[in-house]
Amino acid sequence: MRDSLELALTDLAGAIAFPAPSPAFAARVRARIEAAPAPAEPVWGRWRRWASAPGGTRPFRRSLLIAVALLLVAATVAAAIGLGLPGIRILFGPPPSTAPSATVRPSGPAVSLAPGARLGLGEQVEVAELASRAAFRVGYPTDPLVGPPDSAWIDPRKNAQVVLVWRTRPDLPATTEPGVGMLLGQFNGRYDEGMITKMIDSGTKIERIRVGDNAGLWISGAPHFFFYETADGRVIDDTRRWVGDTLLWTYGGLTYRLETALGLEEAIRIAESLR
Amino acid sequence: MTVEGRPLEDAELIERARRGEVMAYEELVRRYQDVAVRAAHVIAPDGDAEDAAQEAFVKAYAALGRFRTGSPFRPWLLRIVTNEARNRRRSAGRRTGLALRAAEDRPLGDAAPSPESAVLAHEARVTLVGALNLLRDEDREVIGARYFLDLSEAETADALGIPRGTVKSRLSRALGRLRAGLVDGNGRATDA
Repeated sequence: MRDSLELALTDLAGAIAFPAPSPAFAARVRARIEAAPAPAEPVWGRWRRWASAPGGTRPFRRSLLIAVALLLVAATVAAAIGLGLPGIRILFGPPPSTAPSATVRPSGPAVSLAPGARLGLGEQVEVAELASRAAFRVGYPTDPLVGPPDSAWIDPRKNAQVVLVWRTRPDLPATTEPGVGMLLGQFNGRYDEGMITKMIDSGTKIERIRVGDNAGLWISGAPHFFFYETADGRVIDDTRRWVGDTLLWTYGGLTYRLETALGLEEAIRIAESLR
Repeated sequence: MTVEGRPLEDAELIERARRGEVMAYEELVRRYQDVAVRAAHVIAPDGDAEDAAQEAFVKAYAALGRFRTGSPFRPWLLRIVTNEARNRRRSAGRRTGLALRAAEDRPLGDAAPSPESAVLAHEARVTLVGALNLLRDEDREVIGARYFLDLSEAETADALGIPRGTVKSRLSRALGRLRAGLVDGNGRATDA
């Protein structure tokens, strides 16, 4: 039996100004984990076994692990900024992981993979199937430089976002991902004025630009990753490694993300050719 | 996250997280983020409860290898949240304590009281929270765990890192000091 003081305390629980977790709480925890230098013990053990397993790819495995370790050590500070694009929240910092896509074995022969297969972009689909598989009308660049994409991906875990990938060519210089000349991501996002607008000094540069009549951002320099909010309020963390300087813009309720080594002027020209 | 529409048990999510499935851990975070933020606020009301709770979840992930299989996740997690919030409280200077929400923020389901009784009830809460904020951290923690987080005695012991046998006596002493504070009229107003 509770006495009057205990009843009053129980009543008080409903009157205290407790803070509520932000919508991006879980996604941020995940991003921090993926950028953290100390993974859970069993995971590390598994990676160590994987790195030291006999086989022709052992030197590659060790190199990859060392690269991951260096990136994680560098991941001491990440900064966040919210910008005036619908549903975009960008976190600056080292890429959370260079681990290959779950759909592809790390030791698999790279030459046989579709471009973008190592980036964890989701499920590969035929370009011709996109019209029926995607949740929205997919736009394609009509700029003659670009041509049709070489692979297409839909990620059901990330609000069915679509990513088109082009192979490296003489006129499409390589991004930081071998074999990938350009990426074009497309997804539904919702503008939220409440998104945090906080910036900490980082090596990433941002320019506000225009793509036709639409606002956009050119993000270059240090690696970055971001969250966006869907129309039904879910926060999607898209923390895969970005492969190059990035043009972000919105049009017709969709947000587009073009990653390329071509430079800003070319990127805007390609973006404006989207139909 | 479901298997054939069935929500996964904590234990399954923990096992998957141990195998490196961060998505499984993210589901656990969603389940316990409310109580974690609340707990961080109870322990360190002047700190950034969200950041403390996030940091605790990150540390809990790194410590999953030490989690005892089969034991409940919530008190184990709250122990880490408590430690994180206590560390931050030590380094924080100013102390204002818990605050009341504005009266108009009461849940919609609450029956509308008369203006007089509403004022009296609000004043009583202001006095109570004021007296609570004057208690020692140790007393406020155990009261907060039991009445604000609604933890059982066993969960309170695990979350606060004290022996199970002492929760009851510590709570009793804390309530006694709170009563004494109210009688002495030490409950100063702390309103949002």
